[in-house]
Amino acid sequence: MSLGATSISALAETSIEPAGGETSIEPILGWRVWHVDPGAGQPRLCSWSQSAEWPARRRMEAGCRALLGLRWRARGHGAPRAGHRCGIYAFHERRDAEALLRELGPVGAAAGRLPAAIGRVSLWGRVIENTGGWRAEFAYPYDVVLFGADTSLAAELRSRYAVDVSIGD
Amino acid sequence: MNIGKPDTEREIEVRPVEEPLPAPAPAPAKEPAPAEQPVPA
Repeated sequence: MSLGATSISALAETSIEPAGGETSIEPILGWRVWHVDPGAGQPRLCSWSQSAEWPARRRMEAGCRALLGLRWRARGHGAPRAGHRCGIYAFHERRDAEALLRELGPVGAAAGRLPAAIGRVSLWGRVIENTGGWRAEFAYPYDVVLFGADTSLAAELRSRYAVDVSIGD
Repeated sequence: MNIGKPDTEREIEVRPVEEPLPAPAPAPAKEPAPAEQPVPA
């Protein structure tokens, strides 16, 4: 099935906002996994699945790559959208982030791979909660635990992002 | 990352008074300008 311009326009003008949504003024804390590009003294946290760089000292902003999402975004309806897969993901529980890290296998120079990190992220803006975690509009790291990295990389990452960074076992 | 099925989603609007971001990085310190040398007469 294809959607013509008229159909897209009609859909874009249809409100799909959920009724009775909750509001909060407290950012949510969730758990996630990154890989760490050491750079040249300017290490960067990068999303594992999308390889998107997390900006330092600025919020990470979600985008929606879906065709309809782009249309909605232009009208002020950004990611995440209910029923889509867009947004900045985080788990409810640390154990889920640790399990994902284990699935990824060995990390760091000894394994010929980039270092990895798990940590908490602050989430805010439009947030879609599900049974195992959230998809959020905005996020920023809260604290980070590095794997396959040394103390100098931890210090550089701490300085760049201005968050607590430690080395994992 | 799998966080659940679409039919178990619920939306929350989180609008903190202040965004949880660190202060901007301090600007690099400027080197002091060299003192003007006296011009020999």
